[in-house]
Amino acid sequence: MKKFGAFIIIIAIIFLLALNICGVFALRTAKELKEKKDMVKQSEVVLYEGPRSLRDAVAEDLENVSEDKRDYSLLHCTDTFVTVNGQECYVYDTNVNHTRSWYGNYLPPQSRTPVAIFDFEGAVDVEVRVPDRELDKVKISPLSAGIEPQINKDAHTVSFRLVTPGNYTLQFDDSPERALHIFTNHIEKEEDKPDPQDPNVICFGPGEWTVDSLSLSKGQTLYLAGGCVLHTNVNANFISDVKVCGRGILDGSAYECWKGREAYVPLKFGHCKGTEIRDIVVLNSNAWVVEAYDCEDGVIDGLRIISSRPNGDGMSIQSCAHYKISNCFVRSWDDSLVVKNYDLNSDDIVFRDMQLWTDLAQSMEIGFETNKGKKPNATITNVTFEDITVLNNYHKPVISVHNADDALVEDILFRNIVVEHEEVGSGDSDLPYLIDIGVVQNNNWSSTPERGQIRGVSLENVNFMEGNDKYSRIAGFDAEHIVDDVTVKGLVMFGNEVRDADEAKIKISENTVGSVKFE
Amino acid sequence: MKKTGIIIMTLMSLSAIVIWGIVWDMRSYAGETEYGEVTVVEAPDQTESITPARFVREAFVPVVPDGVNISELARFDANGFNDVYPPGKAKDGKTDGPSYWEGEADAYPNIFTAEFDEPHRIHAIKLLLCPKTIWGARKQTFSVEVSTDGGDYVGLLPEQTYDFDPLTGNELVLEFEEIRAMKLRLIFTGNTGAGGGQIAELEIYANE
Repeated sequence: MKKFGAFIIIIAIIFLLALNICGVFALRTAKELKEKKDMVKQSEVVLYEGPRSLRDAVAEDLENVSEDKRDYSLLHCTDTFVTVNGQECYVYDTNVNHTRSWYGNYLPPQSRTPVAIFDFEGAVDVEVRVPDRELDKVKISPLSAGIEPQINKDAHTVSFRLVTPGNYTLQFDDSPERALHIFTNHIEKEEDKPDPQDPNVICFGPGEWTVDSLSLSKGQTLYLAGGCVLHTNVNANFISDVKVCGRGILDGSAYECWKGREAYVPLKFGHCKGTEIRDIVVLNSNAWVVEAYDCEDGVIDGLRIISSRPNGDGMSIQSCAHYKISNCFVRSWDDSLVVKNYDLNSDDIVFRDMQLWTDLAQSMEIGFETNKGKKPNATITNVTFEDITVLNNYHKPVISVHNADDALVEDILFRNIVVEHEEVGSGDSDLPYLIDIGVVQNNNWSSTPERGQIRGVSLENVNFMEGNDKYSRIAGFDAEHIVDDVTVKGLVMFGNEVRDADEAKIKISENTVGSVKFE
Repeated sequence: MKKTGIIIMTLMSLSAIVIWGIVWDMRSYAGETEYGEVTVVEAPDQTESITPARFVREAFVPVVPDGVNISELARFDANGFNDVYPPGKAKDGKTDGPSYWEGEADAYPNIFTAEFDEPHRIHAIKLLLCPKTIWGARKQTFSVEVSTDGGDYVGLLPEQTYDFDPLTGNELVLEFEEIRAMKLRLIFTGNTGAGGGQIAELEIYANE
């Protein structure tokens, strides 16, 4: 009887222990739920109604044809619907380009894709409804954000929670077509907004506006408020301390494609010092998007770019020094980020915390022009690409250093690069390499008769997650014009950490390359 | 032993009651989500894109000096040029796009010369830059000299800084006492809009 009593007590203790353990887990789950719900409850959201003059997109607008065969305007999207904390968010329909080959007539077929923009603090629940899709699979980039999409196939919706303002891209059913770009910001503090009464401030509020090209003067600020769509291009020349900022859109769809003649570069700065570009969105450029030429002490932060037309490079940093570029999203139909020498030497250029989607050409490129100005002792030095996520790269190398002139290219760092998906070698790509480092002579891009050198290239923590398992290449021009001092550390190729050139599938030219170290 | 067991059971029962009590209290969080403040910034009523009044530009009427533009009779040359902007582009009748002369960067003075086969009696020159607003306002500093017989130059207009502004056509007319000239040159020493002097078109006026 005594034994039975002890047995009952032990069973009861075990039961109570289990009850306590379950209780602790339930408590933890409930606490997490409470914290999340509190974050949502305490969240703040600012949504911007789009201009009422933008036309609703119809089926013809979504045809994949050249821009002379359909309306190229920025439109109001009608097949993708977004709510944020239960409130409808305006969705734009802008142009993108899935063509993987160059068109000599500057008229490649172009497509469209939806874009949503809002600001928030705390945590927000986002629901995306795409009635025309079956929605088997949704990928939310950057994958490092760890966002879990909840798919409701019957309702054609995908729901997820965002806890950090930033740039997010939804790709449906493993297709790049009609991917949804969501550009979010922290909510603007009133004290951070420029004073519209200030004579040095040019301010555009919500709505659709068209003005002639804007040339900024020393000390001027151009402010595009959230909900603003401004059709123009902005430039500054030989001045200092200018700023372009806000939550609005700078749109180039009113200009026809430049076709090698007249480029209305949306953000063009020449010989400037102390320029800032912050937080705006640039769509539908008629050529490349950001040009900084012979500039120093520039800051670009939070800029979002989508370009679809020929020569639509995202950011072309030409002969600049001390340029800091961070927190940007670039989707481009030519090089996403490129550093060149057109005149002075380039030095101290940093790209950090960037997301890239490169529909054509290269994601991160130095060159080809390294001394187009034919200056003596030309150099490109101290260029850093760090914490970069490449969502997609379809055509030419993801990482490239191409020295096509007589410059010395030195101290180039690629660190913490994640390539979520690449299809390098698609279309007419003549450079089907994942990484390409070379001293070359090129009929299109070389300006000097002599060749240069590349020294000191570091590739640290580069991770190719998914894609075409192509070769990479390191090659100098000859025994004197070499690539030297290349370090590869923490290179992961499609799930495998590689330790040597063979594993990494890097072709190294025997007589024109110096030291290549794997660590 | 039995006593200890009962104490443990009692303590564990109490803790279980407390824990599950808190969990029960938090059950409301399993319900519908309550959202925070959402602000919607409204767009103005409009049916088409608008140009704000301050950006509406009045049409500029170009200034045309008296006489005839004889620049077609002159050969244009310079002591250098930048990139793809040679002196010949200053008399091709175009001011748009890349159709202009630009002196070699950072190599002042940039000297632009017009030379005739025979002397002409001139009384005005007109300099034009691209009139589009993409060419922002700038100041160019230069002097003008002439050679009456193809030999030495004499000063015609002293060095001065002139405004070029797309709001006023990006053009500049300089009139002077009629003078016999076989050669004319502009000596640039500054340009706030580029690395060298710039001329999209140079017109030279004579009463012929």
